[in-house]
Amino acid sequence: MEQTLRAAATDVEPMLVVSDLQFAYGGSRALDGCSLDIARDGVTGLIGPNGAGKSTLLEVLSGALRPQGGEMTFNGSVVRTFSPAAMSRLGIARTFQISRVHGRLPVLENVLVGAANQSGERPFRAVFAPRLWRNEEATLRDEATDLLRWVGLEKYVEQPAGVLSGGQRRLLEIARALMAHPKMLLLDEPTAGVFPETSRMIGDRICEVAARGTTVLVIAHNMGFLSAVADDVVVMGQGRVIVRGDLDAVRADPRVVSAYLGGPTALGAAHGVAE
Amino acid sequence: MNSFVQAIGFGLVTSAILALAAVAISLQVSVTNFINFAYGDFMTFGAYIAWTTNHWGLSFPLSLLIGAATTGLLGVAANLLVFRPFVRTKKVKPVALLIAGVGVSFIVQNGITMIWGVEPKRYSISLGRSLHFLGLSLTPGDLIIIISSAALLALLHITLRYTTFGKSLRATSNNTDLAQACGIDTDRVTTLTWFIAGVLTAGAGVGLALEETAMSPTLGFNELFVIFGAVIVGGIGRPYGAMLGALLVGVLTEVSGMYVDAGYKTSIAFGVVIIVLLFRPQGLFAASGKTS
Amino acid sequence: MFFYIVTLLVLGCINGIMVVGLNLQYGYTGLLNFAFYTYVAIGAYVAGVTTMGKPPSGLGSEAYILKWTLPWPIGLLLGGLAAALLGAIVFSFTVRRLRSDYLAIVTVATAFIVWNGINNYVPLFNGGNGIFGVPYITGNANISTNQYSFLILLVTAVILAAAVWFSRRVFRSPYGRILRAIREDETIVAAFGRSVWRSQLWVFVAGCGLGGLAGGMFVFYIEAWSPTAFLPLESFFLMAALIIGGSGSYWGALLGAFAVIEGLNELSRYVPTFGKPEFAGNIRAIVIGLVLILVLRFRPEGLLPERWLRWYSAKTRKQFSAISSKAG
Repeated sequence: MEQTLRAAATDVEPMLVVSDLQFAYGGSRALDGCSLDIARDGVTGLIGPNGAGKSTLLEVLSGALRPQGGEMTFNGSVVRTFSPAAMSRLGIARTFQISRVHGRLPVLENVLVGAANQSGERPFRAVFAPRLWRNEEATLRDEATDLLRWVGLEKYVEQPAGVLSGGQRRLLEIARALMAHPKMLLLDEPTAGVFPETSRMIGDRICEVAARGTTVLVIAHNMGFLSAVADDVVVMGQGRVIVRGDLDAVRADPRVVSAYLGGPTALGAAHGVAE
Repeated sequence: MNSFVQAIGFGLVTSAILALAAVAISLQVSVTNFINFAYGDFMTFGAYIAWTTNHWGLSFPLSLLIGAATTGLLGVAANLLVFRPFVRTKKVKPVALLIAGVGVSFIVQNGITMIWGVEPKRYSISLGRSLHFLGLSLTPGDLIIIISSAALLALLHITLRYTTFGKSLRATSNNTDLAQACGIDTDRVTTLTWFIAGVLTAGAGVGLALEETAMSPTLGFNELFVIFGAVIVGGIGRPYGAMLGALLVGVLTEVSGMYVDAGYKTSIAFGVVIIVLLFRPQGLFAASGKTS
Repeated sequence: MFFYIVTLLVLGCINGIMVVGLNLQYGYTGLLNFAFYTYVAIGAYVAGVTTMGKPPSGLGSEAYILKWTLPWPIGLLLGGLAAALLGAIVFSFTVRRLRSDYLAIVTVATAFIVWNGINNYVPLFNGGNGIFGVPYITGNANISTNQYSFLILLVTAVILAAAVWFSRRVFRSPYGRILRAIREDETIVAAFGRSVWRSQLWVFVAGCGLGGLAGGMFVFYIEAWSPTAFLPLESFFLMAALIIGGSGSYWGALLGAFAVIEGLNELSRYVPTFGKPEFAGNIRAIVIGLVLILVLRFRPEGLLPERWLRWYSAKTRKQFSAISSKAG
């Protein structure tokens, strides 16, 4: 009885709640009372002018930065330790704003880095008891190969990731993040500097991920991409959330226009937002 | 108490010498963002060149100038021949440059041994007899070392602060790409930085040779890590921090010599460096949150 | 002539164990340890004092700790363990906090402290005079110097083979993969839930331990050890050997140990020394310095680079090429 109640509760309870997050780099406030909740499943878009605090928020959510104030609740429990490892354990995986891959390592190894808790990564087992991890390793490789096929990189499994184009690196990053079986996926501008075709593929893959039950939060500048992907758009400005809603409503909102232009000037607003 | 004051006096002399080399290293790191491992041998080189010209009969100050200028050129040459080609390839890690510096150090140090041999060399002048004043016991030479080191560093400060070159240097050290975009000839700034760093290290080398009364091919290399210690304590790439770091390490080394066996003096210096790093990895005198 | 070659091979094997150990640290995971010889020295001292017992009287070698008379394999192991322990201590004090090139400077500073301590504190390892008279591992058995060299060669070759086996196992395991990933970009690895620090700790300690074993065999071979045997320069030679040979690959490490250290050592006997035979060592150092710079510049991966393409089993490779051809 109690269990069913709890199960029901987790269904409606948001995946992520942050309230009043604060973060400053030296003197400049990047997050200034940022509060936000993100429901389970679905794709949430995060937009805002440069310097609005989007990337800082993502860095905090992924544990790379420790907030100087505020609270974060993930999957029903309050987060106390802010470190990349802690967030990864909770089930948050990320990609990087400027894509980061191990250029000198094979693509397959890049993806395998995403899978945490491999027993073959324990030093003593690794060396003295390969039997204990051989099967797991084979399974992980199959899974990684499947993921690479899914993002269209199967040709490159053995090649160093350095040969990949910008868009392919973004796809590789997504595959790597999914190796971690995350509950929530944070994507920082996955289409920046990517050809439209690849961009579309990235969009499709993100939708598939969400459909399989992973919560996705994606920073983007490209409105066309966002409208194809995100059900819900959050606009940040000056370190906090200003507006939230579906993309069209948000784009028409005067507060958003003024956030992008730094003042209530209408000139070029549409251009600024549509970019 | 009396000997304590005296130890501080000796510490000031050590600091004055350390500071020249530490500032040189910090200045160069601030511009190029990698450590040149060969500075110890640059010190030795400067001291030996000065010895040679001094030996030929030139006056000591003139020999010092020649030694300093030659070492400056050696720095420029090392940069042009060894380090700059690496930096040009862009993707290089600082570690690779550090190891390349080890190569340079091998070459310079062993070259010195082959040219000048391992027998100790002395300058024609000495530091003079000890004077006793204010509880200190220093030779006139010690005083000249302290004063000229302070004067050199003050001159450097004025150059960095008030000249166009100084401004270009600070801009380059802050952000090389941006400085370049602003029309600063960063290559020229880097070359000049290497020259100045070479000059300062040679000064430190000559001072060290005078203090130790004789020089050998490992003169500078033996002190290299104490100097790095001062640089690290001051915050790497911060010339002003390096001055304070040198002061701290120098005085501490000499004062600790009163309480422990002289053989452990260097260990004390390194111990301080490690303790500092444990609590403030960015160095004592750097703004927090800014590493490298 | 035979004896000469055996001597060369013994030194080559001992250096090989060291460079393979250094490769675990620098080649596999990018930890720049400029003071590797300190760990070699600790291994040598500990292996010495735990096996040599009371010193022969009147030789001025009375002052050192332990004076045990353990069987040599146990002394050797203790030497390795002591080096590994020191490695663990130094690592946990310093590695977490610094960019790798600054870290290298600190490893040297630590080595100076250790060196200073050993040189000045006589009761530990007999100070500057060092320990000597370490007995043959055969004990009192009647054996000629040549036979002894040959015996040592066998033992060191076995240890070297074990070291290579070990590092090959590490390289091909998921652990090795994580170490490589840390070497290339540790931010990613941390973002996916690994403790960079803990991963690196073990391989650093293992590398130091191998250094200790090499030191132990060294002291059994040359029967003495003193502070002049581990000046900082030795560590730099090891590093140069690894980088020229090819960091990240154990073949590169072996090539470095045998060709760069031993080969150049021997060749330098035959180079012109401008009438001054004492220049041989200097010329060797200058040549190593030059080669080091040139290799870093034009072939930074070394002469025998890391070969990650061979990583996969033949079966997996076939599977992948099948995928490639289908997709292509």
